[in-house]
Amino acid sequence: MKIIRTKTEAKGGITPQEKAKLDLYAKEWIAIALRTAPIEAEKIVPAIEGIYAAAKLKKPRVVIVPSPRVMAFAYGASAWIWHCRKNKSDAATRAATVDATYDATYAATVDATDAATRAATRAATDDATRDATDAATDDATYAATVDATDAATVDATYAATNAATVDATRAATVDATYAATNAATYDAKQCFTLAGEGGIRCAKSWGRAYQGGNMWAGWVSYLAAFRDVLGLDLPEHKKFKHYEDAARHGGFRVMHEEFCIVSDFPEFIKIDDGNRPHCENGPSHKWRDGWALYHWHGVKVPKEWILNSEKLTAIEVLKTEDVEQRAAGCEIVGWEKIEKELGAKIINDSGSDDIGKLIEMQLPELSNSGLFLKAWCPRNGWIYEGVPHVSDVDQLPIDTALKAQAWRIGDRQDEYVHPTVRT
Amino acid sequence: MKINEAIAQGEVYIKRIADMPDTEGCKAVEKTAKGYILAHSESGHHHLLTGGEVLERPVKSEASQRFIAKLTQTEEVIQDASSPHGKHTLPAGIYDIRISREYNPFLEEARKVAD
Repeated sequence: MKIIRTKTEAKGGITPQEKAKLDLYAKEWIAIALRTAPIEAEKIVPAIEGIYAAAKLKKPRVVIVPSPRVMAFAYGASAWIWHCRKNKSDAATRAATVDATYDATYAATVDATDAATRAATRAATDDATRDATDAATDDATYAATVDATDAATVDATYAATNAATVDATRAATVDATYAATNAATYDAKQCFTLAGEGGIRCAKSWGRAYQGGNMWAGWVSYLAAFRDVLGLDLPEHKKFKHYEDAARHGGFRVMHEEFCIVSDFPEFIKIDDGNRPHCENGPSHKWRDGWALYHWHGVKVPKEWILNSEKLTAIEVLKTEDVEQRAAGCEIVGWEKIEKELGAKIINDSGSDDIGKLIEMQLPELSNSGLFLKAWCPRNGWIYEGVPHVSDVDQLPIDTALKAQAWRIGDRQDEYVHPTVRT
Repeated sequence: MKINEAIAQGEVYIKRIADMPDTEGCKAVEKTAKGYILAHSESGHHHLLTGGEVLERPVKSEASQRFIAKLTQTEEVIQDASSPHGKHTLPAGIYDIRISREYNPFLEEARKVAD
């Protein structure tokens, strides 16, 4: 296949030399995605103003905040206040909050920068070149960073806005003397004080208006690589540059027709060998306002599990509903301690990690022993799942790991077929 | 994948079967842009079947969930997550799909596995 390189065409795949350059380019963007140096107002403000100008929108007020959590609550309060001023109504109905968080600004800015460049790049390239470039930039950057950046932060920001809502509402409406005990609650309470229920509702909808900034580095690196490594020089690149600069110089942002709130970068991000967020004795992420996240090999866990791990008990872990979190908790406590603490007795060992072992444990709060299937999950590691002593499917006792596997999917013991492949 | 062979993706168990079972009481599952949602994780990461026709079968307890999938061409079972369970490719055929459950000895009740 003939390699074509002009300012308006990049076709025929990529050369080994270009691949080497793309690998270096991906490394640069991985470093941007994991950036922990403080945000610089003199760089991010022009980038944001450039995005709005590219979309033919008026210049917004650009506000820098210390963390995505503050961004979410500040966005909720501000969006609702602007909505009420514009509509001369503060009735916090669902329709009104949807209107207040309307994503037209988000859409217009994406259309003018990211989507336009995507379309132009597609027209100027072929499948072979796109696929090779994608693999070397977007895929590589995404794989190396997303668990610890966008995925962890989105999840935590939603959790913060959702969980704090109830506390904030109660604090502000029922108990005037309620003392905010944590920063998330404090932020939510401030949001409620400023903008009432409408503000809280809008805060929960922050995701409608968000762009990932540096945490969307994979995609930005892909589009920019066509210009910087493969030599495309398209008219769309001029507007795209603002979007790219906002990814280089800012974290999460929410786009509103009147304002744009941009989060600072985390103070630190700690990851394990698999690029998953992880820290055994402290936060995996911390922003400069003190907001911190706690992860065990990619699984978000309660702060106390990490900071007071010596006090974490087997019972507390086994009561956790989320199987990923339970698996993480078991690793934190340690299998040996769990099995010793609960007097574990192996009832049956299938000889296969996949089918597992059936283990009986004495649960202090219960008169009867508990049966657990301990098996290996390729994604979550060792998992403990409870099983009853007698199957409700065929009324037969469960006394082997294989019978426990049959019960797990609601099968009769004599009909169960164990998976040949498990992922 | 042979008839009566099974595979699993997280809490989703899939067995290829020879014939279409009785579909009385089954409900058609609505297809989303990415496919049929078989199960979703607490973190919002759905297990999806990319195509075919999917029916949800009636079950006795909320802890159980079963589907029948009829595929006229090769489809995939994927998880929409940044660090997903590995995908599976399913050839055309009929599949019995079940969502795993677990028993909570503290509450003495079964529930769907959540991850």
